[in-house]
Amino acid sequence: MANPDSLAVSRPARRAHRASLWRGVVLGLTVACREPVPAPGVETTLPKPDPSGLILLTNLHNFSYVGDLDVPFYPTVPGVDIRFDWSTATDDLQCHALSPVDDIDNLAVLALPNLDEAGVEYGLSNDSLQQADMGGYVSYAPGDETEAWLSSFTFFGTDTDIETLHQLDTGSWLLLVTSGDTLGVGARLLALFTPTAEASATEVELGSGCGILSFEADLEALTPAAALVDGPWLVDWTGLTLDGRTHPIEATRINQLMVARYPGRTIREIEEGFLDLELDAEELWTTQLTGGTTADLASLGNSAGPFPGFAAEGPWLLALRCTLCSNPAPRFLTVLVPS
Amino acid sequence: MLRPRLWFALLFLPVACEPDSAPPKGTTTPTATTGNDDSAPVGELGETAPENIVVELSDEVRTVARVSWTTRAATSGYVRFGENGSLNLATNTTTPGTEHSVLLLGVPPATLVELEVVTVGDPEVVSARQSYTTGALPPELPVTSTTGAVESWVGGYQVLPLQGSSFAVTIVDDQGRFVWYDMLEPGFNLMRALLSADGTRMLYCLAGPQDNLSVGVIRQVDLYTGAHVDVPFPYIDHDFIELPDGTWAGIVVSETAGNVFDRILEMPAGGGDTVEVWNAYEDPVLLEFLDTAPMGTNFTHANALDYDPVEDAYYVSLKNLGTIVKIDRATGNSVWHLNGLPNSFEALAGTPQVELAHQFQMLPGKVLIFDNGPTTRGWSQVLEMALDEDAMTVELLWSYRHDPDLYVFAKGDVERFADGGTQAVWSSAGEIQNLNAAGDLVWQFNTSIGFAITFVQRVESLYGQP
Repeated sequence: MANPDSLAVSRPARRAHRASLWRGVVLGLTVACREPVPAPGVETTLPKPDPSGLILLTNLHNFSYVGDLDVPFYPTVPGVDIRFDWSTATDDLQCHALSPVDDIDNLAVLALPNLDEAGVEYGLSNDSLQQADMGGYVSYAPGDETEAWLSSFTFFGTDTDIETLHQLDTGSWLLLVTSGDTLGVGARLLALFTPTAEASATEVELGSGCGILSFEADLEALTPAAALVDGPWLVDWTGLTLDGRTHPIEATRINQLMVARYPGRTIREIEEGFLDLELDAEELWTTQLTGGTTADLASLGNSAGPFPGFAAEGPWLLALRCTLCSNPAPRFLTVLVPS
Repeated sequence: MLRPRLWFALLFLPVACEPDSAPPKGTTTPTATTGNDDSAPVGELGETAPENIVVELSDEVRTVARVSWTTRAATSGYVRFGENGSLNLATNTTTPGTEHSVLLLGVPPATLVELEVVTVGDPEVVSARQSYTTGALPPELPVTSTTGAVESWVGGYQVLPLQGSSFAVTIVDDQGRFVWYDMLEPGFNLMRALLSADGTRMLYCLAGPQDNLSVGVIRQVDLYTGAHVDVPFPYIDHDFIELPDGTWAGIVVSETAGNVFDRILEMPAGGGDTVEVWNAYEDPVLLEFLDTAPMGTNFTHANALDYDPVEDAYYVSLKNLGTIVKIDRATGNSVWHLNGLPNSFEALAGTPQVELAHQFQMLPGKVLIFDNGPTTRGWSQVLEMALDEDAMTVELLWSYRHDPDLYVFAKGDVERFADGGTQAVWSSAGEIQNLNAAGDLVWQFNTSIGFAITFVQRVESLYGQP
């Protein structure tokens, strides 16, 4: 269930609160911003790696971020079939290029009877939506089409006449346009369409996804972690309790470890292009996690082969991710300093 | 299901005598019993002392461990174990012999478990206390939350099939923690999962896709390795049960002359020829309503099955007709039809119409029903109705609605506890509620978005039912 307190706060008030939080982060950056390379002759405070290769990750090493969703809202005529059209959408939530035909595998509609627009946005941002928030779920695989009718959506193949249930006082209706077909994962476009008495629209035309998601990350105030250049590298995040929003971390949901390097970029530049974290990496290695709170970086790999170590130029980032969560932000992200 | 090669973490555990874990009166703790024959005590107790104790944590179900040990003389034994230093759980007793093996079931992930191996006798012989830590859960399982505390089934478990973002069969304890899991490949319709009555394996009803029910199976799953054997049960759908003698009984979708309807078929445990027990198409009362569904669609849509060994009777819920049918197992004849279009009972004043119901529970003189209701109503409820099989009347006794209203558009389950409490499973909402005898909400379990619960089996023990 979404945080009920948040539902009592108007959107402008919530935004003002977030802005306040962000100002605080920015203020912190003005004094904490520096490259993790000491000037010659200056005594270094850079972390030193544990000779055993153990890389202990704690809350101090984690980045911080604030994110905001502003999902387009379409008041729609109750009780009629609704047409969805994404033929003109050429970029997604993260402002990445999107092919309306090739990149879209699934459309899902979630009826959320007890949530308003702000509640849905809060739940998506915070991965706090529960199954019980959902009054109904239907999906549609469009193939090569770029439009779909609500009446075509089914519950795992069973027709539920969903279009007849799109009535007044049925809460918020969320459209998720996704790559892949895992519920709540891989969202490329979002829209809220709510049956409204005065509405005249029977179509939801999804344009650019860019602007729906705003994201501000701080990688400069964190304490970098140290790693041996040539290993070994046993990463242990047992002591990690908070994610980048300082929310309790759900360790069991972390299913991917990623290491990437960004030669020629400063930490601030990486931060500013945060939504392109994967695209901007010169090289990137991942390993799938099957639970637990430890991993060996020797298990990392990419299409070119196994992880070669930290001999190449950095900066280096290490991320712990939940690829099955609706919020794509890493649960943990830190700067690794090899030596 | 494709499974990676099974790896076992062999934990040759050190001897760890705990100074404050004195065995109860009448037991003897050998000085050393673990993996060291030379140090075993001599004499009569040494002959029955557990030796060569090995704990193997399953790599497939990382909450489950297997403990094996030997004794020099043929004897029986068991393991008592638990978390946080307690030894509140116990396995079944092994059959007499010199080589012994048991599974430790019922503990949550990432938990330090302590254990003692006990040789049955007078006095008992108890090993040194040992410990191991259970592994982590797969990230594909949902995040769950609970509020309140279980009152009616403390120390028990629930088998929860999960469907949605990923498919899994799980067992949760009375704190809502996963203690067993099996991730499934999508493609099947996971309808029902049962811990077999003897506690040796899990049984799943996996119906085929709705457009190809012919590939339906009953899956038997090993609790430790997760390995499975599929027994074809073509056209099985929605529900199946295990009879006291181990026989499987399932709802099977059938077709005659374009008319689709349901039957109940029985199959010997483990597979074999099926026997038809009941056929909706041969029920003259039901046939009056054949034209209530379009040709080619199931006019009965059976979705829940139960069995009463005392009366040797089946009960089956027919969603599309809004009725529960009582069936004499010996003859296959329908005894009565409760509610809905073919109702045999007179509904007394104030008794609501049941529509699109799913699971139910027959109680002495009463029935408990999960009444989904039509989508146009928009909310579901639990109904308790009094049945008078002499006067043939039905009367509403009690009802319960979710606050705020919740509509369950698929599945739905209900159970009355021995202490008068009630469990409502709001399946498609991924929520379970426990009410006490007064009807007050005392415990609630929720899954994160993307995970619906199908039908639930509650068990007192993971080591077989009494």
